[in-house]
Amino acid sequence: MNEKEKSLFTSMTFDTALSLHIDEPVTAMSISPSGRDVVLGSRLGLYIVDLDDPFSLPRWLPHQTSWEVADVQWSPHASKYTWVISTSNQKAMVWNLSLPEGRQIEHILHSHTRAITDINFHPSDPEVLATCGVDSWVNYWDMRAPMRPAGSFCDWRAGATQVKWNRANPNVLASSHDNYVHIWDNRHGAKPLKTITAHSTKIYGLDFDRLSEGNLITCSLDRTFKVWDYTTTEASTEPLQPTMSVTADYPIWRARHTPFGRGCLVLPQRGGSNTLTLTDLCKEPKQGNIENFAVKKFSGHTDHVLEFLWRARGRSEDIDDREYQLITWSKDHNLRLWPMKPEDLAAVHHIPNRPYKRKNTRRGTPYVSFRDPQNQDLVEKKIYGRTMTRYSLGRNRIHGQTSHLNWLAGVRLGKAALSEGNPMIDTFQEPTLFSSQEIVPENLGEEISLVGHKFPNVRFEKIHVSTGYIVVSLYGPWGRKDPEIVFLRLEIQFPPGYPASGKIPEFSIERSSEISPQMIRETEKNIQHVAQMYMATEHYCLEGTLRYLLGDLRIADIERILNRPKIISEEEIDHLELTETKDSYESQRGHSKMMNPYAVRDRSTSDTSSSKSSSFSSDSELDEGDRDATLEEGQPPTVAQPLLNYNVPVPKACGALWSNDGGLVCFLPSKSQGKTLGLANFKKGKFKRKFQGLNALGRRNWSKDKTGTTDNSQSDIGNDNPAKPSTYQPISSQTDNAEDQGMSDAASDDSEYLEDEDPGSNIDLYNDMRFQNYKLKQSTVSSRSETLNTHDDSTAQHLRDRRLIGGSKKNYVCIVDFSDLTKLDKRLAAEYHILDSDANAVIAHNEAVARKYGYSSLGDIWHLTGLIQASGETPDIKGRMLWGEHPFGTILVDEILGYFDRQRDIQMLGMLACIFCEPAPTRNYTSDPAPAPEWYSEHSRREHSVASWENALYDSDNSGQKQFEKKQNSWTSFESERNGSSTSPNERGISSHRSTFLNRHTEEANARNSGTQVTIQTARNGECHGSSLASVPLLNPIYARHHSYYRSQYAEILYLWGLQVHRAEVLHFNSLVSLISPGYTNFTKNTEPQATDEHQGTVTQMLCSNAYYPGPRCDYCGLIVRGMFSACLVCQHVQHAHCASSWWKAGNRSCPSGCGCDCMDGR
Amino acid sequence: MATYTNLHEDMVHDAVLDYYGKRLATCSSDRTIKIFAVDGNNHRLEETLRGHDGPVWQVAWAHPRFGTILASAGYDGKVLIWRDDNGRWSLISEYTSHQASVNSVQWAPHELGALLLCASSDGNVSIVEFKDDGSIDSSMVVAHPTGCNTATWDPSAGMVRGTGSQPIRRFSTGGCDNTIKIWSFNEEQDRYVEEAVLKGHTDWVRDIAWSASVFPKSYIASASQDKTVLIWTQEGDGEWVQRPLQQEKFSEALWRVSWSLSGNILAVSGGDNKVTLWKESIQGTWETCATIDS
Repeated sequence: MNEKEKSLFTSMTFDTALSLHIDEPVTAMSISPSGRDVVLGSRLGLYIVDLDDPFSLPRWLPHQTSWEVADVQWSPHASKYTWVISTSNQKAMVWNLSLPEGRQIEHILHSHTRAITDINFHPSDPEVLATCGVDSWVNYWDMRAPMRPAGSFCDWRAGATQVKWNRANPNVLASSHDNYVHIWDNRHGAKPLKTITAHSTKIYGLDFDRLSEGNLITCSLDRTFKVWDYTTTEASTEPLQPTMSVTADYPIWRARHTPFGRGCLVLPQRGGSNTLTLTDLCKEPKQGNIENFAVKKFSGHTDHVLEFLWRARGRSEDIDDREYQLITWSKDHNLRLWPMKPEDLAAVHHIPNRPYKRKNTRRGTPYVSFRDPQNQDLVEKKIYGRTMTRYSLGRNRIHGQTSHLNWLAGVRLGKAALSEGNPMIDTFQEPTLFSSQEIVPENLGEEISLVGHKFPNVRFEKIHVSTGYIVVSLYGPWGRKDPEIVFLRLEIQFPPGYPASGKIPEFSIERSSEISPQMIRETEKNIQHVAQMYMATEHYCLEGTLRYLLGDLRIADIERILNRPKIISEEEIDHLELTETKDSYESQRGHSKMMNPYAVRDRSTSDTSSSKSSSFSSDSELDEGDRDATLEEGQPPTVAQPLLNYNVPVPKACGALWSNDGGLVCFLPSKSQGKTLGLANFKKGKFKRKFQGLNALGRRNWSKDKTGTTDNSQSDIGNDNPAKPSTYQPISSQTDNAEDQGMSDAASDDSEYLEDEDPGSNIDLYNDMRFQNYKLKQSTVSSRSETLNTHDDSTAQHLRDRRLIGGSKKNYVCIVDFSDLTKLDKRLAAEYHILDSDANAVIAHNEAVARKYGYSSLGDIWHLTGLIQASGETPDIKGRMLWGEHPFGTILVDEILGYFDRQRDIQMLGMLACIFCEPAPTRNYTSDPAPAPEWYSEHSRREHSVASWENALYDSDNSGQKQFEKKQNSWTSFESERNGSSTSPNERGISSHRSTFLNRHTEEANARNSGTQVTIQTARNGECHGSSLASVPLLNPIYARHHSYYRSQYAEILYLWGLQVHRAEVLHFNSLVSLISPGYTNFTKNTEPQATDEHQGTVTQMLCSNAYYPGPRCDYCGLIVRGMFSACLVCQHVQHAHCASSWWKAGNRSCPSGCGCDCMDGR
Repeated sequence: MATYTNLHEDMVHDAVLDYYGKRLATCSSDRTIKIFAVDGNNHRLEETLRGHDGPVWQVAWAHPRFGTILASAGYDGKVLIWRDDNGRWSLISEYTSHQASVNSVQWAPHELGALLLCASSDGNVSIVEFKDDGSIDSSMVVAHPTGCNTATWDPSAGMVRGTGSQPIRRFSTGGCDNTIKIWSFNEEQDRYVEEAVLKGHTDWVRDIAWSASVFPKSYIASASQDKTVLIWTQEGDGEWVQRPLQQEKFSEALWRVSWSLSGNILAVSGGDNKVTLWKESIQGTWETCATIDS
C-alpha cells in the first residue's frame, strides 16, 4: 500500500481489539496527533509503538534516568506533530522526532526545583505548554523562548499534582494541590483567580470540559470525582459547590471528560478490578454511587491501569464524524486498544455528524509513524539495532532476536486481546515448559514468534509481519557433499491473508557456494511442496517448512503427519463434543493444528480429568503413588531459565540394558500405549487418542495417551468375549498372528486390573502373559480367562480400574536371564577349578561341571584340553599344569582360544587363559650355579632360568626335602628347598598336610605345620613359582596381552558375582605373566609373609608391585638383603655377608649372580 | 525372568540395575525416579525420588566404590545426583549448566574417578568430575551443535589399567547431525579433542554402545532414527570400519543398543517396542537370537 494512502481508515488495528505486551517499566503514555503512534515513557527512555504495525518492535529512544517518567505528552497540534515532551525529575525534555537520532532532545525545560508531575500542552497555541511540580510551582512555557518559563504561579504550600489548560479560555489554567484546585489566569498575576477546596484528601486528577469554560472534573483519593463550574461565583473566596459528586468504591486516579458526548471515563487508582468505567454526566440525580452512572466498563487488565487515552479518526473538516478507540496502559505491561461501538458513544449522549464547535488541532497531521526513523534509515538503523540488541541481550541473555520474537508473542489481535493474560507471554516469561496449554498461533506474527522460540538456532534476520516478509537463516543438510550441514538463508514472502487465503508463500533460498544451484532449485521446490501440503490442510506452514529445511522431517513424514488427523477424525469430533464448553473461541481458531507437544503431554492428565473422566476426579480411589503424582502435578515448576528444548528426540518408550550379572533389563510400554508411533490404528471406541498435526509423528511427539477410555468401551473390555479379540488391530510389522496378539493384549489389560489390587499374587500370572515369545501363549490364554472371571465379579473394581487405565500409563520392566546367550554362567564360575594339585583332575572336574549344567560343547572342549596334557608321566608336583609334548598342543590351544574369542565367551577365555598359563620361563636369568637339574634338562630344549629362590639356602633345613603344598581352593604355590645344587623331581618330598607352602623366612621349618602362611614373592628378579616345568608355552606369547586381558576381564566378572576367591586365582595368573612382559602386572601379593587362618586363608594383602620395593636381594640366596652385605662395585650385585663368605670361600671366582663378572678381581 | 508392572504413572524411559544387580532404578515421564530392591520376582519400592521438573530420561548408577550414587538426567535440563545414605536418599548435587534437555547420562569407568558424561539437546556434552574434596569440575564440549542425543564412555579405559599407563578419558557422542564422534582427552591441550567422526547414519543417532570386552578390537554399536544399527569396529588405532547389523532396515526408528557384559550379545530396541538380541556368528555376520515383545 502506498504510504500516502494510509490513514486511520486503513489501519488494521482501529476496528479491532489489540493487546501489545511491552516488557518495560513504562509509566506514562501519549498518542501522536495523527493517531498512529503511541509514545511510552519509561526510565530507560521513550518507546514509540506504531499501532498500524504492531508486529514491529517499538523504536527505542534511550534516555536512562533513575526517575520514573511522571508524564509524557505528544503535542496534540498538527503543526508540531514531531514534539514529544517527557519528564525527568525536575526537568522536562522536549523531543523533536524529526531530528537525527541521538540529537532529538530539542529543548530542556528547567525551572522547577523538584520533580515535575504533569505537563499540559496548550489546547490552541501549539508553542505553549504548562508544567507543574512537587515544588508547588506551576510554569507555563513558550517554546519560542524555552530558556525560562513564560509565566509562573506558585501555591507555596503543597506540591502540584496536575495542571490543565482551560480548553475554552486560552488564558486560564488550573492546578491541583493537595485537596484544593487553583484556577489561574496568566493575566492575573500571582494570585489564583479562584481556589476550590474540592475534596477531603489529595486530588489526583483534573480535567476541563471541552465545551463550557467553567466546567472541570476533579478526582481524588477520597473515592469521589466531582464536577465543578467555577464561573458560577465571582468571589474567589466564596465556597463553591460541586454540580455533581460521584462516589466510587476505590480511589480515583483519573476522571476525564470524553471527547464525545457528555461522558467521563473513570480510572481507579487501585482496586476496582482494574476496570475503567465510562460514566454518563447527564444522569440525574447528580450525586450517588458510580454504579448509577456507569454505562460501560472496560475490564481485562490484570494490574492497575496507569493511563488511558483516545484515538480518534474523522474524515470531515466541519462535521464531527469521528470514531474513537480507547487505548490503555497498565502495570501488567499490556497496551490495549479497545474499539468503541457507536452505541457506546450514544450512551453518553454523543450525537455524531454535528458541526465542530471548536477547531480540532490534530486535524491535518501527516499520517506517518515515527517508529521508523526517517530519512536517516541507514545510520539510525545501525544505532537502533545496536542499542536494542545490547539491551535485549542484557535482559534476555539468549538471542538478539528473542526480543522481537517475544514482542511478536505479545501481540494479540481480535478477541484474544480481550482475554485476560496472554498464554504466549506467560509461557515465554515463565518457561514452565509443561504448564501452558497448547499454544496455537492466531496470526503470522504469533506463528513466527512460536516457531522462533522453538528453533533458537534459526535466526530470523528480518521480520516484517505486516508485509509478510521474513528472512531466516539456518543450518541444514543441503551441502554438496551429502549430508554436509551448510548455512542457508531463506526469504519467505507470505501472501496477504495467510493462511486463510490458501495462497502458498513464496520461498527463495539465497545462492551460496556451499549449495549447488540444482540443490537450491530442488529444495525450493520441495519446501513449496511442503508448504502446499500444510496449506491444503489449513495448517500454518512455517514450522513444517523449517523442520524440513533443518533436516528434521522428510516429506514422507510430513505426509503422514498431515494425514493423521483424518484417520482419527471421528475421535476428534468426539473429543470436541466433550470439550466444547471448555473454550468457546478455541474452536474458532481455524488453523490451530500446531502445538507444543510437550505442553500437550503434560496437560494430558488434567485434560483427561476435565474432558473425559471428570467423574473420576476424586483422588480418594487412587493408590498412594497416584496421589503423589497428582500433587506433584499441581506444584508450579520452578525452572529458572528458559530451555532451548527444540531438538529433543522422541522419548524412548522401550529399551533394554544389560546388567552386570548377565541379566537383560527391559522396559516396555504395554501394547495399549506403545503403538502410538504409527504402528497401528486403533479402532474407535477402545482407545481414544488425539493426534494433532506434527504431534502425531514429529520428532518431538509424545506417544502419550490423551485420554482414558470411555465407559462403553471399558465395559466392552470387561465383558469381552475372549473369542472376539480384536479391539486392537495390529498391522504388518507384527509378525505374530493377529489373533494371538489381540488376545494377549486384552489379557494384559485385564490382568492390570488385578495387578493393582494385589501385585504379589499376580506377578507370576502376569509374567506368563507378557512373554509370548517365550512360548507361553498357551498359559497366557488360560490365565486370562481366570482374570476375566475375577474381574467381572466386581463393578466397583471395574470403575476403579477404569480410572487407573485412564489416568496411569501402563508400563512394565522385566529382567530376563540370558546367561545361555551371554556365555556367562555364574554356576560354572563358582564350580570351576583353576588350580588344583592334579591337572588331570582340574580338567576332568571342569568338564564334569560343564556337562552338569548342560554345556556339552564346553565339556568337549575341556575334554580336548585334557588330551594334550602330559600323558604317562605323573606329575608329582601338585598344582602345576604339566602340559605334555603333544605335537598339536600349541596349535590346538590357539584354535580353541580363537574360537572362543570369536564367540566372545569371556568365561571360557578367562578360564583357558589361566589353565594354559604355565608361567613361561624368564630368559635372562640363569643364576643357578649348579648344573641344570635333570628334570630340567629332560624337558627343556630352551634356555631356562631357574628362579633364584630355588637356590635359597635355608639355614635350618638342608634335608633336600622338597615340599609342595597346596592350599585348597586357592592358588598353590610350592617351595623347594634343596640342598646343594642338584636335585631331581624324584627326590622331592611332598608334604601331605594342606597347610601352605612357603616359609621363606623360616627360622624353623616346623612353622610350616603350625598354620597357613601365604606368601608370594614379588617377582622382581623374575622369580616365580615353581620352575618351568612346561616345555613349550601353550599360550602364544604374541597374544600375551590378550590373554592377560581375558583374565582381567573374567576377574572383573567374577568380582561382580561375588566370587572373590576365584577372582584372586585368575588375577594371580596375570601377576605370573608379568614375568614375561613386565608392566603387565596388576597386583601382586605382599612380600611379607602373612599368617592367616588356615580355613579362611585365602586372601593376602594385595599390594601394587610398584608400591613397595623391599630392597635388594642377595644373589646367592635370593632373599632380601638386610644387615651386613657385600657388594661388587663392578657388577653391583649384592650378597649377604654370610652368603658371600660361603661363596667365595668355596673357591668361586665369578659373581654368584652369573653375570660373568670377576668380582674378586675388582676387589 | 522377573517382571514388574506399573512401576510408574507414565512411560518408563530407563531402567538400570546397580552394580550388584540388587537394586533397580527406573525413571519416567511422571518426573520421578524410583528405586526398587529386586530379588527374583519380588520387588519392593525403596524410594521415589522427586526433583526433576520434567520427564526423566536416564539414570545411571555410579560404581559402588563411590557409594550408592545415582545420577539422573531429564527434560528440564538438569542432572541430579542422588545418594543413599543408609536407606535415606538425598539430593547431593545438581548440575544445571545445560540449556536444554539432557538426554543421556553415564558414569565413567571407575578407574577414571567419579566422572559423569551428559549429553544435551543444546548440542553440548559435559564432563562433570566430582572430586574427592567435594568440589565439582566440569568442562563442556560442543559436540553436535544441532543437538546431542547420547554420549558413552570408552569402557576399555578401565581395562587397560594393568598396563601401568594412564587410563584414557575417551568417549563417543551421537547427535542430530547424524554423526558419531569419538573424543579423547588431550593432556597437552588440556581439553577433549575430536579423534574421529563416524559418518554413516542418515538420521539422528539415538544411542551408542561401546563394547567393553573385546580387547583387540573395539566395537561400537549405534542405533539411529534411520532404522538402522551400525556396528563400528576398530583394530588397534586404525580406522573405524562400519557394518550394518542387518542389511534391511528395521521397521521403526531405533532407540537403544546395549552390549552384554561379555560383549557377545547386542540388545537393540526401538519404536516397535521390541527388544531383539543379536550375536555375531563365526562368519562375522550378525543374527538375531531372541526377541522380547511387549
